Amino acid sequence: MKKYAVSYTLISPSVAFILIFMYYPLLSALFHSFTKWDMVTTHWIGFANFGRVFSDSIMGLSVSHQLIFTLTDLLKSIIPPLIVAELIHLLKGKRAKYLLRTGFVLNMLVPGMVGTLLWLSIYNPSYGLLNQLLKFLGLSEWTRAWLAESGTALWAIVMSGFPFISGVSFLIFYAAIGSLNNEVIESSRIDGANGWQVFTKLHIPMLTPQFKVLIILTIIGSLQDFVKVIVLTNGGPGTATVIPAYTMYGAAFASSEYGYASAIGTCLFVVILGLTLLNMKFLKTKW
Amino acid sequence: MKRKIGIFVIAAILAISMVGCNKATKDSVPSSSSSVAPATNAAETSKPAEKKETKTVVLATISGYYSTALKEAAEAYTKLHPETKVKIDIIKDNAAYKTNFDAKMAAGGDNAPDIVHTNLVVQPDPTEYINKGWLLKLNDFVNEPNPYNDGKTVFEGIDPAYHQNSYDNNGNVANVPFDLVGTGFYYNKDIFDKLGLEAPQTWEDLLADSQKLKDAGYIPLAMPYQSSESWMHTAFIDWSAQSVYPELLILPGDARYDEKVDSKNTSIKYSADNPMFDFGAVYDPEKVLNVIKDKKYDNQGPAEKKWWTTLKDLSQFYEPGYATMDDNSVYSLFISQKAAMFWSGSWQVGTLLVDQQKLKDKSFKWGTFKFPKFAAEDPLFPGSPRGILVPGHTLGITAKKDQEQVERTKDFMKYLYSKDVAQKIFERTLEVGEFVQGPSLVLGVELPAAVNDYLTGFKVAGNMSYALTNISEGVSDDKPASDANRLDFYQGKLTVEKFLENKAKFAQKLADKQIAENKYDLDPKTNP
Amino acid sequence: MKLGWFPRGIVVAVLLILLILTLVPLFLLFFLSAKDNLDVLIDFWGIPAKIKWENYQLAFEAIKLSLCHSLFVCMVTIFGSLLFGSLTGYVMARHTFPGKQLIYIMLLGVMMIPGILTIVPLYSLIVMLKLDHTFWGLILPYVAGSQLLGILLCRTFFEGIPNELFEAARMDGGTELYLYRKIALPLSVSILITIGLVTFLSVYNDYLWPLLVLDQSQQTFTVAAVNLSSGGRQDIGLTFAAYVLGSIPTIILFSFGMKYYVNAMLNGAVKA
Repeated sequence: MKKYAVSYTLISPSVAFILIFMYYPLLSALFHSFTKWDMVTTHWIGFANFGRVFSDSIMGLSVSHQLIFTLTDLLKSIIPPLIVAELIHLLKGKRAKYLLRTGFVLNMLVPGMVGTLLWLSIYNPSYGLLNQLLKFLGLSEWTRAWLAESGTALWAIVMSGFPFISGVSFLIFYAAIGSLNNEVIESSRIDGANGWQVFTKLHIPMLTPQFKVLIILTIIGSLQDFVKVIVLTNGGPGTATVIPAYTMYGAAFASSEYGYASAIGTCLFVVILGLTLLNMKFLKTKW
Repeated sequence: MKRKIGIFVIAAILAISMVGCNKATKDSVPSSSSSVAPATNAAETSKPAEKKETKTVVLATISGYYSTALKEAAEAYTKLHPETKVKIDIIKDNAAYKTNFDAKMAAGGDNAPDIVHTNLVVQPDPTEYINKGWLLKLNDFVNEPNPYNDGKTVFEGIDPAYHQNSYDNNGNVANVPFDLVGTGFYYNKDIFDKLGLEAPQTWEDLLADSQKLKDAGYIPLAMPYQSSESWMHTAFIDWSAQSVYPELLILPGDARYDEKVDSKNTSIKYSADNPMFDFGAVYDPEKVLNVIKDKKYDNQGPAEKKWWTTLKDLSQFYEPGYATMDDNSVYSLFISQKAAMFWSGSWQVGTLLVDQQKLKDKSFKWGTFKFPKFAAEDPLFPGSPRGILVPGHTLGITAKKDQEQVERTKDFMKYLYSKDVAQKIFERTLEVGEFVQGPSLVLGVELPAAVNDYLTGFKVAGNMSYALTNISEGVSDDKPASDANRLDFYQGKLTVEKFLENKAKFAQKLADKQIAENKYDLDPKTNP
Repeated sequence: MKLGWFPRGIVVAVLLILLILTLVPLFLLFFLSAKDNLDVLIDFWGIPAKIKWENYQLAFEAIKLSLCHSLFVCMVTIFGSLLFGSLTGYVMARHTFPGKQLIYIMLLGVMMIPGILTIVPLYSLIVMLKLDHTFWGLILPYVAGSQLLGILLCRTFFEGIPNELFEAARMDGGTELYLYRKIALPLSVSILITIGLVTFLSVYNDYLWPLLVLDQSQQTFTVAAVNLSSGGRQDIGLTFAAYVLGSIPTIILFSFGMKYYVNAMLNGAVKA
């Protein structure tokens, strides 16, 4: 046991912090998913809240929306930032690299409310940029109320945030690509591999740990993110953009049903945990 | 080496921010200038007898709601009573407001605000929070003399027509109303004049005018569909189903009957000619549920068919994309003259007045008109629509353990509900261009003539009642599904019969849920 | 990698287009920050007749104190979260010990519970610990939460560092802390900066938690900025001016961060 003492000692601050400030409230949330809780009295009601989650008439629809959001979130969080990071590494000038990587990170500074206003004003049917652009191009028949038609609302939300270059993903890839072992890459180039081959045969496998991390982070973020739905469509029109986290938010804040909200949260937790474990197994490395 | 520089930078920024903090703290001594005149005679009557411990009373409010004027009133009060500091906490939105209160009460309540807008923390009614012991029962408070208001009791200073709205389901006083809020139509007089239109009086006119506006290239009606269309539903329900109300009253012999609260019920008789017939009515929740369980009010009658079809016709003139449009964008359509009419609340009057001044050469003449009637008399819709005017902001007191704290809070409440202070709050709010929700309920407060003129669109005949709204409009877990049902109907994908049939199912489901949760036996003679 | 002038020109052009598109929200922030609220409502995209610089003056008066509070909270949080996150990440990457996998899953599991569900119990805990109305009531939970990203990213990063680097030092009798300090940390500057920036932004932009925990006299930047209203509505121009001012400390941090955000260090170290 003694030979592990150092390891345990070094991680003990992290573990202590998490136990006190995270696990206590977390277990409280898990516990309350089995209760009817009005914050004064607690009634144990077993699995009734979960029964309600699964008997919700639109839960299936809501999960299918979530699936679309999560899959597209994964693509958005990986592909565009990776391309940009690779392209910047192709450049030579130190100054250009510095300016570009600062530029792509700068966006992290902008608070979410700005993006919301921007996309509401792009999609607005009466004065929105998108419809005006289509009219300008002579495509008037394509104009529509993007966020208010059940055929387009979901995809309008997916496309908000274009061109999807998230600062965090970009930084992670940029750092990783910079630290790839150049000797291997150089020698393969001498062997006649072109840029594309280097990218697919060498970079992509070597970036597996980064993919893994980003997949986990994106799944966690995507399943909990109800803000974009609230600000852009409020779940509408009708049921067109409802997702489980949105229902959870409504249960917790609009109707004070914290027990029911916790049950939805617990289901989300189980799904995220399952996907994370799958991700770890599937993209297996030495852990 | 580089690491050291990094640490140095962080240390330097930390040091700077700490120095900055101290400096700023010194700078920010609260300014003592105040525009709210203290109620001087009250000050003399309630002089602090001995030196008391300093306490802080917190009133939590929401962005923009009377906030400037309330802050000034708080400063004026502290001048009068140096031992009580009053702070006005401003919170971003309704969700944060409710979470802030709930979380602080769940943690013991010591940090919770002392005065809250009960309309923001508890919907649809305050019974739940009174039962939890989170809000104080104000039964005695409203009958205490108010030293700031010539010694009248608190309730004597409030418009008696609205006292009943302060009671919870069990007959406890849960809040004191401050103002009224109404909804009506705003219209752009310039556009109407240009097209030779008059403010419509009937639904038929409204639809015909809308068509003309549409033909002229305007958005006929800017409708805050997500937040405010439901006010119309409530007005229609009240108009078409009010003859049922007498069956819902708590009467002698019922388990809930309380002589003090419910005595007015015994003299209530329905009459189509008297829009005030149900003045002071208190309804029994089990009787209300009975009406829907035995399908006496089934949500699918000829009246429902007619008014929902009318609304469907009207929806063809809403702004494009209304189904998900946010309120801010809806307002921008009206103020930028893209939309000729605007369905909204009386809270918009103050804002519009200020914005019109700022618009200068782009300003336009505007007016308001009431919720219309039908052109031909229809027995399904007796008398006139009673329109929409109900207490808006209602203040409640948090039930805290510290008795002295509660006493100080009550005293500040009385101060707010005095004629002079309330008058000043309304005036200052208009001066700085913030929301005045609507007419004051504090007796003696006068609004400027210009504001009163615009509020005529909200003046109503009688008091619209919510007696049946909950069981007609309410949904339990099915809000998105019920929204989709309505949209499908508006877009012609469902017949009115099918739409109402679906709607009735949601209402029945909610009724079942309420019966189960409250363990009702649906017999008003017994208490659950 | 060598590119001719023509392909390089294409790469630069593509990057510039993407950069401009990415920065549209930033331009919009500046653009609207000098606009009157009514102009924003009437003509969102239009160039205003008069530029409203006084937004900046008003916003500065309203937020200067709260900016200091926010910076203090951010700095302490970042320090704690980087220290614990990198330490644990290091141990998770380079040590094997019983229960490691379980502890790791336990740590990550916390990120998977939606935050809004834990707010009420966490607040009760803070009150119980008498940390309400103190900055520690903010900082401690922030450190607990934000170190998770650090653990995740540092573990991934340290796993990528070749073993021989550590072995050489271990041979020379270096302790674990020595290895962590002298080898792991200097190599991980870029990832630590990434984590620091993310932590900074999430702490800086939080609204609900500071609203609950702090007294109004201690309010943080976001809480103060949201209260900037005029005419009873949130004043978009004014709020955005506050955001621009509030981003100045962040920009300073970013430019320092980007300088240190070096990437060739690892290769240099391996070669040395």
